Amino acid sequence: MSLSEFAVQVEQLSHTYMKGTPFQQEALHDVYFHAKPGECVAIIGHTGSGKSTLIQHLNGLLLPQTGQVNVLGLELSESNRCALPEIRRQVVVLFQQPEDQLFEKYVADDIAYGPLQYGLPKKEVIQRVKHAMDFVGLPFETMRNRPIYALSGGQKRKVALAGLLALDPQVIVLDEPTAGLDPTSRQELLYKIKRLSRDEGRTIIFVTHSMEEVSLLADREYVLAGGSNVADGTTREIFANRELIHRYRIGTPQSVELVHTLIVNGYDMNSSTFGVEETVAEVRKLLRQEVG
Amino acid sequence: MLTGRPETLFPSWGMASFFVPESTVVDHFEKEGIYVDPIIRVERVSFHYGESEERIPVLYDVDFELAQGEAVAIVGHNGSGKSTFAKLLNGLLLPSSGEVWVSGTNTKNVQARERLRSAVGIVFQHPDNQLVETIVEDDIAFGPENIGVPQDEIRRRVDEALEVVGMMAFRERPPHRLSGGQKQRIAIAGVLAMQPSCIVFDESTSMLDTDGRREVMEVIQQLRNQGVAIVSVTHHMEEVVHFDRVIVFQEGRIVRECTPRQLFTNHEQLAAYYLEPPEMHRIAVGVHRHEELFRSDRLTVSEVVDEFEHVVRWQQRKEALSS
Amino acid sequence: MAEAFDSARHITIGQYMPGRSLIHQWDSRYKLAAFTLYIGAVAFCQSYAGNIAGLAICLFTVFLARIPLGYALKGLKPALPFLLILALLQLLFNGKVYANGQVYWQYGFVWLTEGGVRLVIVSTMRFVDMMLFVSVLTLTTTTTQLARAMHSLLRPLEKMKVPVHAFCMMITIALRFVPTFALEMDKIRKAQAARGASFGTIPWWRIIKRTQSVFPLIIPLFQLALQRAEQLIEAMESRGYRSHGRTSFRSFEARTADVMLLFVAIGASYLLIWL
Repeated sequence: MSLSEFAVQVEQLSHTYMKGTPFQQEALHDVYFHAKPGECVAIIGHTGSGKSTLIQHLNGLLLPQTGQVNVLGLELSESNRCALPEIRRQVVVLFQQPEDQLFEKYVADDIAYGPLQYGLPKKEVIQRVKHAMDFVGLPFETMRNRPIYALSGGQKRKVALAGLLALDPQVIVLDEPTAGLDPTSRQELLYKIKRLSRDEGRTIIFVTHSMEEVSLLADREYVLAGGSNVADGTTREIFANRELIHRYRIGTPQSVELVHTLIVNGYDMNSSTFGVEETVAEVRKLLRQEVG
Repeated sequence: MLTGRPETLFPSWGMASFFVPESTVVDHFEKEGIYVDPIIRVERVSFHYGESEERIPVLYDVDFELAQGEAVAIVGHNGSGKSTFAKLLNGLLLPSSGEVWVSGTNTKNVQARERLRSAVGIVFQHPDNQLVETIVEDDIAFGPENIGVPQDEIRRRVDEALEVVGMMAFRERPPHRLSGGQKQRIAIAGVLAMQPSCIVFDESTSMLDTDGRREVMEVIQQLRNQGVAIVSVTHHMEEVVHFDRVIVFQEGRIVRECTPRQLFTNHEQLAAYYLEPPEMHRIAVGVHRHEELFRSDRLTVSEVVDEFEHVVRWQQRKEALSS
Repeated sequence: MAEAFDSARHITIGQYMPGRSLIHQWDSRYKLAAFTLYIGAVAFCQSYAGNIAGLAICLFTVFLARIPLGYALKGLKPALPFLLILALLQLLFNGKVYANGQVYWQYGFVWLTEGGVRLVIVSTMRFVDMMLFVSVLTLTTTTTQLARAMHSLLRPLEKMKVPVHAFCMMITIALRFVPTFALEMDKIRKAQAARGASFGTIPWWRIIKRTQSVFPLIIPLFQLALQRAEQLIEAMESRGYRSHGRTSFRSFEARTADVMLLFVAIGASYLLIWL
């Protein structure tokens, strides 16, 4: 694949914190990662797996010590520093607990912050803010002058996401976007993320420690542990690998847990089954098989 | 027994975590025909923030009783008043009307404040914002220090609490070096050191990852085994299945009180409360639709697995008999 | 975790260096009292002889604490340019105060006097002394020990209705959350940078813009702090917090060596003032 065919391409990336001091710590070792334009790719890893370090390389918050990071056809490096602001408009990152970063008094003002920083004309900024707000489910007309402190946690998170969408980015990186949300808000957010990928064709990179939610969204997954890649593939391929799931304590939906338990108990099941309908069909099939 | 109160009668309802209590609303209040007082009693409580015109009503006419050793889950949509309710249980908030009694003491009784805080502890949502000291064991000692427990007794309580939550190895660490789940376990230990008869968990697992959540749930199970009553405000339905009773809040009122199984098997009502059953239940229902033998009221992975094997054996026996 | 402190590797004041030297094991209460005395004595010392003695005592303490001299001195580096400028200014413009003493040179506002020169040398030595003493104190004592020592020393004031415990609780909580705030600041800085905030790239003369650029960092930190305060209050109250009638989990036990060292310190301080 040529350079420009990937939206994000990471090759042999390594990173050591506090290099040269007695406290130095290698966070990434020879890590690779690819995302094609319009794909929804997940990065699965626990704390300490290196996923936060990897995320920071995607929008140039960290520059590669060794290895290569190519984003939208541009190689990120010290010599390319001047390109960083533009990269950050095209590749946005929604960090954990994003509601903490809101600082303006009114909803629309905070969402407008990003576009205004980039010097976009006011009229265009308003258009983008409107579009972003309507998309996340905060109607522009009624919510624009709402004070942020009066919003619920879920609504604040929507404001934070809208603030990024207003930049009209090509790549959206989301770090545990549903953490701490109640089930209703969670479903809503996942649905919106799906729309960003399927309807608007943006590249989504979903970073999480559990595959529970991401299984229905992501085309492919990369599993990180201890700073290195340990597996990558489609959702099915990863779920089918029981040993991998077990060894790296990857969170799975209950359906997968059920399938794996039945397999361990000696029943012959398709190990890549997941989701309610598939599991029900498999269980029924198994019942009929066992009875003969 | 951690609570150290000889009169605590604890039913062994909190068994291994994979069993879901089968009974209907368990009558904890009657043991062998003897009526035992509830440790918490909430009588027709209403609560609002602010005064007169600027009133923000939160709770309306809430009634609730908690028996010794019982484990109750509280669910409901955001803004339904669950957290406010939790804070009424130890007197942190006082009811605008109605009464809250803890072991016979009214929460409005200012003199009895220490007794109330000791009897009912709360573990909050944010793991960091509960730990005040720079060293773990000092933080656990904070509660006992406040109520004037003598020094050697504090030492004993701190060690005991660390054992129960499994954090003995971390006693001298600074709190900022702990993971979310570990911090919450220390917060629990800090409450345990006050020797409460009831611990309230106000969305204590919301900010944790799956590992952290599992750690906390394991500690809760340990506490139940030791006879500590538990009230858990949560929105994780997979946690709810393990409790004795579920209370559903909606718009500031209690709209349902039943066992987890009763709650999840009533699908129309569940939807009306904006709640969804755990994935396992939906699978059980799906299988039942085609195989009537397979009970649809299963809630956890182990229940579904057991049911599966049960049905297989039953059918195999039937086959063997008819042939 | 390591990421947040990448930028803080060269600061020595406030850093704790674990060790088992005499100074490390000195009862924190006496240590705190002794060092306060030292610093006070140095502040009052006007003569050359006194300050040289002070410096000697200081370096001896560094030696006793088994701190590598280079490391202790490295902590002074950030203050060096500031020191030089201050010294120069004092030398040139403060000399007039000593005009009645020996004058070396005079031109307009600039007076170069013997008194001025002495002032500069003494001030610089004093500053170095104090910084080294403070460094040694923080290098050999954990913040927890310092907080407890302070509480213990100020306790008698409680009889005069001074809210000592509340004050010390405040300090303990502040210390407890310093690393947490550092992490949060880092997190917010990255989040805002990720949506186009420019930190440190605005030229120094665009004052308004520079001030405005701090808001996305400061305001969220403030909000987090307020939220934290509210939640901490609830947690502390739920654990029965009150300022009176508290017992103590830990207690100090002084040994003879601790008291002896204190007497040494008192003696030395007296000497400094006398010189």
